[in-house]
Amino acid sequence: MVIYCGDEVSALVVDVGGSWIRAGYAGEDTPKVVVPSWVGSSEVTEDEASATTKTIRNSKADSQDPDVEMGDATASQSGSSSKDAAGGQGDVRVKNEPGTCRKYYIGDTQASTWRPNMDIKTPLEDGLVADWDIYENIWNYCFYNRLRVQPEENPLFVTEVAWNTPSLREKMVELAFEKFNCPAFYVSKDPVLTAFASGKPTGLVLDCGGTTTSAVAVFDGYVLKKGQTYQNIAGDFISEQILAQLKQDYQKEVVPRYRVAQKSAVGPGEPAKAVLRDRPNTAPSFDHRMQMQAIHEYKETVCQISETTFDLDALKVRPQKPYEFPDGYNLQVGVQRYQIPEILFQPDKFIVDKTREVRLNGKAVSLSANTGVNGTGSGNATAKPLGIPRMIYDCISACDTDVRPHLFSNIILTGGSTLFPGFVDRVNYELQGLAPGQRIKIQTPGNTAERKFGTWLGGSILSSLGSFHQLWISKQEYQDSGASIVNKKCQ
Amino acid sequence: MASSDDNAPQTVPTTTTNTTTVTQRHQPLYPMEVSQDLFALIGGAPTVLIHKPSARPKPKPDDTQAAQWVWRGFTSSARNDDLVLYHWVKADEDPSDYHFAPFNQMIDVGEYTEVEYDLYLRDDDWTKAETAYLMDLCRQFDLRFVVVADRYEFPDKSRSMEDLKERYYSVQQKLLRGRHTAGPINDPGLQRDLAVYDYNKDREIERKSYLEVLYRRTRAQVQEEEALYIEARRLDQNEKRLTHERNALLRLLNAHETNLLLRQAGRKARRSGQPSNLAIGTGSAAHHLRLGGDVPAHLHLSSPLTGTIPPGSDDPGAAGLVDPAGLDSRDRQPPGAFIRSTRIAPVKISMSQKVLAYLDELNVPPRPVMATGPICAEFDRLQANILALLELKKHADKLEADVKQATARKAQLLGQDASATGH
Ligand SMILES: Nc1ncnc2c1ncn2[C@@H]1O[C@H](COP(=O)(O)OP(=O)(O)OP(=O)(O)O)[C@@H](O)[C@H]1O
Ligand SMILES: [Mg+2]
Repeated sequence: MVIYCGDEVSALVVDVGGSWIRAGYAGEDTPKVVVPSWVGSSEVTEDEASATTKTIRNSKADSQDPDVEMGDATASQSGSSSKDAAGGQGDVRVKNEPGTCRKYYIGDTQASTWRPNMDIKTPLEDGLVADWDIYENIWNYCFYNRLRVQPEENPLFVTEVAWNTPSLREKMVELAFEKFNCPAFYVSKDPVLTAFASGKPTGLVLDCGGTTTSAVAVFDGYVLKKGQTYQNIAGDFISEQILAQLKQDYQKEVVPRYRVAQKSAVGPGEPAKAVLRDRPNTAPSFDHRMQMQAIHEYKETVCQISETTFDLDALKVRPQKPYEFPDGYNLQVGVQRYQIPEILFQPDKFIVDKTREVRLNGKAVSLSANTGVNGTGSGNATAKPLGIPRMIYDCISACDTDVRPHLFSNIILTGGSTLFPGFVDRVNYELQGLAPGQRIKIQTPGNTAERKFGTWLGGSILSSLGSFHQLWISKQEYQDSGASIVNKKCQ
Repeated sequence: MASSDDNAPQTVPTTTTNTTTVTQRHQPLYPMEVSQDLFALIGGAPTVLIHKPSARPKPKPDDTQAAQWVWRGFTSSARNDDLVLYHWVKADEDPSDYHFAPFNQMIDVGEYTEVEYDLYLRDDDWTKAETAYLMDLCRQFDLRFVVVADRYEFPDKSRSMEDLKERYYSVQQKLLRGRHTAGPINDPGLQRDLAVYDYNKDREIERKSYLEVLYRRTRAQVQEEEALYIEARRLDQNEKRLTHERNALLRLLNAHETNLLLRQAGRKARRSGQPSNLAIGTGSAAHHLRLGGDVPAHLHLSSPLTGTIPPGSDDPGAAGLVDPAGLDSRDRQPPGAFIRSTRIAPVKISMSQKVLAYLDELNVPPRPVMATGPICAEFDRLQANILALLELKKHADKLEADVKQATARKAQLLGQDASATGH
């Protein structure tokens, strides 16, 4: 035991990503809980809510005391926005108007069950927590409903994006200590943990996940802030574009599974003959999310990335793949299955639906026709969306000359969207072109689980190391120095 | 964990005992009259290695108690507070301090007092606060300047990594010098300490700018560079081959000339009785040859014959330098012991049959039976003579045939002439 320097203190590790939440015990190799990070939310009346909350939180018998304390705490630290003050929550519900409150449905089965007027919401925006209410409920759900632990008894280890802001981190510490009463807390950056899970203290981490793609350099376990880039062209963006492409190329409106009562076989490309369910009062966000789920499945089944430069004629002769949508509509997908994922590499050329906003480092970039004229984009007004190899190259170029070779030989690809067949080859190929004369070595975990859970895994390893335990922020430290201690202790 | 520990050492002895029993059964393994060592040299009896899988040893009833593990809270001396975390430990483990606390090592970046700052560390470019900020960062990131430079955010200042390093190292040096009150300033101990903190900012910037240029090369440039490199290698190899060939040629010439000179010198020496002339002779040979081509002098001296001549007295650089490539393959000593008869000059394959036949005629075996030095030398001479003889014979035969042909022709011509005159 001592040989591996491991010492488990039954810490909990929670990684809330843009599309998946992963939670589990430190020291294990896969998270116990993997649920989508989009949640259903609807307005219910007070008594309705209290009836259901009892069932959801039945495991938390003695939850009243901390909850009361929490209410007080939120009121006292009134420095935060008025929205928080209004949401002085002690429960899953959020008071909106007198008599009604918000109820969240978390978890795959809960959130994807159709309910009239149920909205779908996500807690994060560009990887940053935008809705603390949902975020808190997610923790709540993970601890009490799934892991069934008392957070007061377990140190809590949380992941964050590299570009998280100091104020958001402070809020997170507050949440952990004030609301969940954790004995100890630590927050660490995704790329560091991913590198850690691959056994590298230094490397360039490219994370292409659900909502954001980011390229961040890690040196000796520290994120290098200069040069890190993130962009919202990732899995969800690709799926949106596929939706647009299907509409444009096949005049096909994707019908999500919840609306299909019965389907019957039709020939390829023929209109679907399906019996649809009547679902009145469906919230548009719910319908859209369900459509996206169907597209995700399509994407993960047929889409692929050209291993070398995109060459339409060469790809046209590649075999087609059949695919059937939930309503029975089916088609043979040809070169289309290469076109949309190509956005990851050449966003300016392959984006179909140009009304979608592309944000680079949190700022919108123009997709209008006059892009592509000046290659080097000197002014910020002409900033263009970046392909993944560019992001990697630019990030490395922003680092010190002495570090660059180490980064080039330790490029770590992670995140669900790197699982497109051909992705790794293509990145390698493009980088050879961008950085000739550099020894480029791409490190990717072989199995899919590690690429989807890489961040969580790194957290799990780190927080079960004996020498890590001196780093926890303890409750006492928090009380002595306030929330800002997180910016000092978690670098 | 415990079971695997028990097993490992036990399987090994059982295998060895098995093999020894097998060897004992085949006694005696070597003939009694031959000593064991000699027998082993000859090859000995093939070892029979039979691994009989032994049944797992029965677990011995263990009357010791199973180790007790307890869920226990601990504090760590590496922490500044008394956070209690819980983990499983053996009940008898010493709970005094946390096992991993000693791993908490900090780099000492040095402290200084206000007074010291005012005395030694004043700088126009750096304020006291900024210096303190830099030292703090260095401490926090354990002197990882890459990270320090990345996180450096001092109001209204932008500093490169070189700026930071320069300041840090100069602070250390100034403190060392300032605190060194006992002893002279050129104390070697102090100088050694100071050298640790030597930092040349300009050179560092220059180095990085070169690296930057290297990094910014385009694909075409890299390819061109590679092509040039290959071309250079090719030229280099060509040149090597040429010099090698020329050396071989020169060696031939050299051997010939030295031979001549040697003979002359020998004659002179015989006349004057002064062997030192030999040296002058070789020296002049070298000079003479150097006119032919600019090959280093020691190459000239390395002909097979120079091995017997003392090195040229007017060419001190050449002394003792003998190019191994200049040695005839026969003169090169093979490593280790060798059989003298293998050093007899080989005969060309086309001639070997004839030589053997001749040797047979002379009642000499094809290889000397007792290959002592003189015999080998004699044999060599004999072989050379035979070869020369055969060569001469061949020549003679050819000439004879020519003569025959010529006489035949002459006779023919004479005959014609006779008949012509006869008519
Ligand atoms: N086999 C696959 N091929 C292509 N895409 C896939 C595959 N498997 C998963 N994905 C996509 O990966 C995305 C999820 O990736 P991941 O789990 O890394 O995201 P996340 O970490 O939750 O989000 P983020 O990192 O953006 O915060 C989804 O968009 C999903 O469609
Ligand atoms: Mg992620």
